[in-house]
Amino acid sequence: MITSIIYAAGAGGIPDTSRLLAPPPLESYQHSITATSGFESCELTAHVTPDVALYWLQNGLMASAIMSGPEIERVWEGALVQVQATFGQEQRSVSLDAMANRVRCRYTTVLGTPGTTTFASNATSNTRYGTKDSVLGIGNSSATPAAALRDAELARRAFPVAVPTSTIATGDLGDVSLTLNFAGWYALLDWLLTANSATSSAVTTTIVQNLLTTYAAVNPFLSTDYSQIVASGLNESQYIAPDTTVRAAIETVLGLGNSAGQRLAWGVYENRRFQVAPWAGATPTATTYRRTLDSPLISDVNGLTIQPWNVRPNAMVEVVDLLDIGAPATAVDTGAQYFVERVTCTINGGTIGVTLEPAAGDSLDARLSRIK
Amino acid sequence: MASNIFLLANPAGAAANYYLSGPGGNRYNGTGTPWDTQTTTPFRLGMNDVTGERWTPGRGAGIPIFSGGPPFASGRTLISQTYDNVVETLPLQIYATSHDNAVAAARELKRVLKQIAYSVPPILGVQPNGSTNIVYYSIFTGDVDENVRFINDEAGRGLYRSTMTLVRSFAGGLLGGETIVSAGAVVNNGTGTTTNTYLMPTLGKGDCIYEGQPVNIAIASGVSTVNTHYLLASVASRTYVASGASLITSSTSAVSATTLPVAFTPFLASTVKPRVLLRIGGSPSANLEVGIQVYIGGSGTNIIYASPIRAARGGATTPTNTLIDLGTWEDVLRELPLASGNYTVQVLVRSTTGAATSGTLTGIELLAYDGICEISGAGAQTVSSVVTLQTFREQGDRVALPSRAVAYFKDGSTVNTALSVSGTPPRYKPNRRIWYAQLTTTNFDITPGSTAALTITHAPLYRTLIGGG
Repeated sequence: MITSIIYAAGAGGIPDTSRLLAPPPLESYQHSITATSGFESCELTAHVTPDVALYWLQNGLMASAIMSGPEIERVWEGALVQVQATFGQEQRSVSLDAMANRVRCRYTTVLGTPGTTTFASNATSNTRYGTKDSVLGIGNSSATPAAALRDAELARRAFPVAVPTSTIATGDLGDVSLTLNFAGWYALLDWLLTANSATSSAVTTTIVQNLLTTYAAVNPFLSTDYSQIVASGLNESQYIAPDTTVRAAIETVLGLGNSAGQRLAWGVYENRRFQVAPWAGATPTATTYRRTLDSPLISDVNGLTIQPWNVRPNAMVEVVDLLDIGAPATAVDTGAQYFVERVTCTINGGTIGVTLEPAAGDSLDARLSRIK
Repeated sequence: MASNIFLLANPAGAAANYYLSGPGGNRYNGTGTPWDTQTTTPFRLGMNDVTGERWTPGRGAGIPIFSGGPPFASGRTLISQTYDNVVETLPLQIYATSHDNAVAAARELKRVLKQIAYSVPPILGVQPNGSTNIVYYSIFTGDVDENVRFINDEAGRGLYRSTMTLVRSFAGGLLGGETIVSAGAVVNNGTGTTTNTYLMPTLGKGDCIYEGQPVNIAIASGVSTVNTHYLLASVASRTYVASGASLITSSTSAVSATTLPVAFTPFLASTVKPRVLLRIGGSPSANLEVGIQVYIGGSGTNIIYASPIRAARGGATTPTNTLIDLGTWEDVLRELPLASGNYTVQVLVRSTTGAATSGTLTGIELLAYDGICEISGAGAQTVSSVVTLQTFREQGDRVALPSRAVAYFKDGSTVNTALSVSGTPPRYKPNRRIWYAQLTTTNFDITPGSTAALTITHAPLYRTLIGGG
């Protein structure tokens, strides 16, 4: 049903197709896609032998994955950022979340003079995973101790952090299982810090392209094909405060919407290309998906079934049986329809389905899922 | 003929049989391997009230996934169906001259049943009385548990009543695949109806022909090229509609280039799905993008499918020809009481730059297919290169059963490169053809007129017994 094609990471964590890895035999699959990140997360679980679990713990991080549907359609893409293995009562987990292999420290002297150390990098980690920035802060200090703090932090976090737990208790010891957690390539835009002192304005989507180009110069994870970025027509100052992540900078400008006063949807999708487009809520009557209450399937407006793994956010969904009466023509969310902010596809032994979430995706469940 | 029921082990490469279906009464005296012949084996299936019920191979339980239903509708919709492993018990009697010899004979079976942890899975072979052929099942684990009588009421009699428990494959099969097509010629970029396809022979073998039985396909492309990837599908039919329409435009919005009627009759009485591919000639330019809209009847209304707009080529080098896959759609027409009719396929073109594009629509391929897969990463190949898609393990010491689809590339040497497989590999079904296309990854370039040789091996599956095959 879903084919997982996983390649070992290339030098610098770059997606590389030269070494194909054998995926574990899937027992469950789940992915999420949002209107403001594109491919967001993907989780594969399987029962494996201890050797296989250990292999993934030791070698798996930054592997690139392409999830493909049964019709060769591209379902999801991303990078392996966390591996969790359970060996009975022992659990092991390695993650890139807390890793930082390029660090600098900002300090303020006792006289109130600000300063910044240079970046210190761990070349071995950079070569293995790509570059992931962190900045520290210390007050009433000076360059030398700030550099020492920087170096200590780098030594502590240069490599993926392991989170082991051991339980020694009576009862069933359990089995050996493996969970591979992938993040969409968009999430890795958090890895680099940026700044821009220029105060002149530029079109926001041009600012985004410039940010992506700068990012690619350090971490060439994403495609440099920007043909799917629809120009916003909206100008904004190019100033970016120091130590802003590239992702935050992108979201700041794209969050302004476009010159038509409409919200934008964006993210990294197939072939790691960045897309920007007006949100589907701009034309709320243009339904993308429909369902009827008596059917387990979702379809497009022509009645064609859309498989759960092919459902995408930034779409209007309508329940045909629920008739809206008197809703304002420009209302996005009504009784029968709403804007899909996020989709989660789940496939396991008893379920093949997709969950659609509205734009009120600041619900606790949604936020917890994104953290996970 | 008595029934042949045996375990087939393969320790260190040497085959060994353990006949379970002996005549009874052959007592193991602690020497030799009498179990390797049916007439001398000390094992006998119990089939009595004391040792256990009569036994026949069970089938793998179907695991359907349904959805929908009450309270919104009556009845549920079948979404998918697969099968689980079989857990079954065989009543077994072991005859020996002493307690120790009985235990030793049982130990032989206990070891064999765990062989998967050492070498290859042991195999259960079943050939009932009167059956022409043996059906084989792959054993994942198993054990032999003695009946309480062995050390109590029947102690010292040298009769070891037991229960053999097996966890085995969901279906049976043969040892190794059967070649059903040997170097069958398929022309790449054929413009006729059945070119680019090879009709699989009609086979009477296997219980799962309608669900699909696994095939391995070796492709000897016979050309020297680089970065090739392949599309393979099992199709009920392939319809080719020639065109010649110009794909020249300066519009940055998708505009119609041409419309072509294509019959949807192939889809009315089958579970096959439609898929459209465009064959583009005239050296398509880098700024040309194509797509389709599909209508019921005439164009302009009743659109049922709008494909993604895709580049007509990839890479910097201008290819002569390209093949662009524009995907499939869930066909609503099969739910309608129609006897015949046409789709209208409207080909759309777009310029990514605003400058005039170039290219010619050579024709449209409409596949009525079951499954389609893409094999990527073959790299440079010579005329002797062979790419193989494997969906069952084809080794004489294993049962030919479905396995994870893998593909590999061999360039006249023993070094194999693993290739990625995405999609749904073709399977054997009656009256299906293997459709094949060979592309260069970056240019989507096809090599017109080249003839490839397909060799197809097949693994028939049996839910329980094989009979004549």
